[in-house]
Amino acid sequence: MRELDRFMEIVKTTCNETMKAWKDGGGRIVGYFCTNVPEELIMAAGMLPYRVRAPESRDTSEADRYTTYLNCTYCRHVVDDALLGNYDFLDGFVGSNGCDQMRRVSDIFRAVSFKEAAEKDEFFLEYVGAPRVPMDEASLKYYKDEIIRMKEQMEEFFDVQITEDKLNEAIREVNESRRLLHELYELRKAEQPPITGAEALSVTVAYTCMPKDQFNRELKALLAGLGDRKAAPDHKKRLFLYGSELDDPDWVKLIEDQGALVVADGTCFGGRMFWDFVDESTDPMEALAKRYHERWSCPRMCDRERRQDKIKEMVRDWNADGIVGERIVFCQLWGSEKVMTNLEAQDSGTPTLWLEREYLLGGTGQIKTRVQAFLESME
Amino acid sequence: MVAPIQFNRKKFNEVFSDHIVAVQSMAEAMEAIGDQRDICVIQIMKAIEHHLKDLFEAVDSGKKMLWHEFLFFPELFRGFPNVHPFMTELLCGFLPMFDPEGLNPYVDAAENIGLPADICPADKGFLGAVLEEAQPPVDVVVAPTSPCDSAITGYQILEQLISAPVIQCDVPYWQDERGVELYEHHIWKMIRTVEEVCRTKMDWDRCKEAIILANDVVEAFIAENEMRKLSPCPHPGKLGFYQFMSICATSGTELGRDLAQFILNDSKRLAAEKKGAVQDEKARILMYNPDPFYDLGVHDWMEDEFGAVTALTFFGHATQTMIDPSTPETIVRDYAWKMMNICMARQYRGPHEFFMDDFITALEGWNVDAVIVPALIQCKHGQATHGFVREACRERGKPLLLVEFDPMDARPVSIDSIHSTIEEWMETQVIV
Repeated sequence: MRELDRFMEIVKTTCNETMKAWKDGGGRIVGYFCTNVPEELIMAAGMLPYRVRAPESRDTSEADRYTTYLNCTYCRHVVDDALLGNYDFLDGFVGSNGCDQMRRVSDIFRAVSFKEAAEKDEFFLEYVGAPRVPMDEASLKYYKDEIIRMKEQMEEFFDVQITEDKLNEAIREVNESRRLLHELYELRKAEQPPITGAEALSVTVAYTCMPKDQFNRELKALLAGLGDRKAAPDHKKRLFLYGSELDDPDWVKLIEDQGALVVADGTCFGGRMFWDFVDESTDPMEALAKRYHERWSCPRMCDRERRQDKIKEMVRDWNADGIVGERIVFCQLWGSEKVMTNLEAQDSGTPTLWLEREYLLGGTGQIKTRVQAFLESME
Repeated sequence: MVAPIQFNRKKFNEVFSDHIVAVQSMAEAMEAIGDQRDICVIQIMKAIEHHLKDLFEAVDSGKKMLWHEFLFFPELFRGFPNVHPFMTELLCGFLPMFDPEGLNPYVDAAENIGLPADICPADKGFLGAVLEEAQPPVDVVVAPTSPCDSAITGYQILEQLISAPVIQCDVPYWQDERGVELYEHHIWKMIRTVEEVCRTKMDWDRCKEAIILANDVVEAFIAENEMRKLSPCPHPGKLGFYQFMSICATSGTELGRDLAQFILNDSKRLAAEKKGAVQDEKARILMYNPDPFYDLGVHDWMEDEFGAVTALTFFGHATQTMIDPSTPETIVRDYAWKMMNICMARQYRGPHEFFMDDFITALEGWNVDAVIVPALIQCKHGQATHGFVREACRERGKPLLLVEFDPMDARPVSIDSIHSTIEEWMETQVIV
């Protein structure tokens, strides 16, 4: 499908053609790592939010001046790209404490990669220190103060006004993207979904690196064109994909090529990223704070029961036969989440398989064998 | 819902009785050898023995049991009548000191339920001890979201394994007023929950007494820390670790206060006599990051083999603050601030400058000639700080050794391997 091919193409590069066009038109791009940073704020400042990835990186030798082989490879590839100047299209970067390793990567961005440019006032640097206890008034206030500072710093640095109107507009636009993505995910509830998990991931990853109005237009076209498409008519089992940073559709394809179909997910670049909406009926900063602080979280947040209830809901509503979990090696948050999910799955009887991976696709033989065995065990 | 793990009195007796015997044996062996460097360690062993016997007494008398993470010092909890504070990681902290393989069965038990090898052994250790039913009973668990991702999720797993509530208090990213307010708020919430769960009421007078005792410990610890700047350094390198661990367990008691005072007095005596762990110091070392728990003798070995004294260790760096005991409000606020500033909570959160600033203070303040930074396998933020550490040492012309090991489990990197790495570095970079 032409619309799908386009999304697939967009996510293959670090700086895709829509971003280049944005820059060519005089637009600015502000990067971030983790979904603790409200992209609506960046959009309301008239800029393009870009979730930093390193799909074209093939090496980490530059990064390993600052990181080691015991750090996660997503972090190492991103640092490598930063040190090589591969993010020079960025006009700013907002870090956050998504995890211990990303915290340090943000430090390296600030103190090394973009230090010189920031000192010359040519690059914007800010940080959002996100609390870890949801459904708590004081934590919500702390987080709100963090994003208020981010807003004020952006206004000052870029000499722009982030007005309430602009914020509301950005919120509406991103909510529209979320609504469309939900629509796409709803279609995956069908016995014969019109889109595979790999294709769906390419759409959600594209969401992080395209102007939202353009993304919304293209996603609408995709939705209109899916019709009665049967993406994987011969699939044997339906899977819920759960886990950490994953922006490579080929990894999901590898799972699906073994006879499975990923029908829903809760990954960093997937469902967890867009699931919750911002309340459009209230003060925009308050609404943003609430949405980002209390959203479908990852194990960095102290809300195990909420997360597990969400997984159960997803597995039930998307009629998944099992769960495939993935974590990048040396990710401690997801190493522990694996245990929590497994303990719960033992109780509920949901077949679960966890796979360890590196940022770049590799170890495919082992993954194939393990997935094949997992699918057979469910028959 | 996973079936909660129950208290196993027999297993608990077995494990903790063995622990008392190990502590007693270590103190007796040290007394028999008569090395002056062990004088304070022997006192610490006696205090730990006392602490463990108190634990048995608390279990026997049916007191409510509050497990606290090691980055919540227990002085605050001593204000709860009929509640006994127990450091969740006690076995992790102490077992490897007596037996390098002591924690292994618990690490293995945690890995057997799927925890990866790259999770911190402190968390695998206590989770394994829970799974093996070796821990004391529990009524409530309190833990800060510190020092790392491993601890944050380790306590979430614990919540899944036991029936008691687990209260996680959020340590803020920044070191500022706003941050301390957030932490303070969570500590107040925690106090109310403990009161509810343990059906007790905080006795603030009693708490105040414990706080005053804890303040005395901080004061003595800071003073002893200053004495370590002297050459010869009065106390051996290994003492910092023992001091920190004993504070984690005994802070807020007379036992803890007397111990801290004993250590300070001993330091003053040695300084007055111009005696030190190494009389003729060939080099002064900074070891900044946790020591190998199973090989605290590494410091004695460096002292004996190379005349290199560890002038300061990470655990031995007194960065703690004191608490104004005037009112419940001042106590909770200053307790929050203190817990943001104790070892690990202070340096391991926030931006890398939180670690680097203390590292550089230690590097420049204790007249060190060379630096060892334990590159702990599981310490992910630490691994990604190495570049900054290298740059700081290079700028100051200090030889640096990044030595990789697991702090509580000698299987990934053996004691021999650690020693041979240090030996090669000493001979080629430090004592040349």
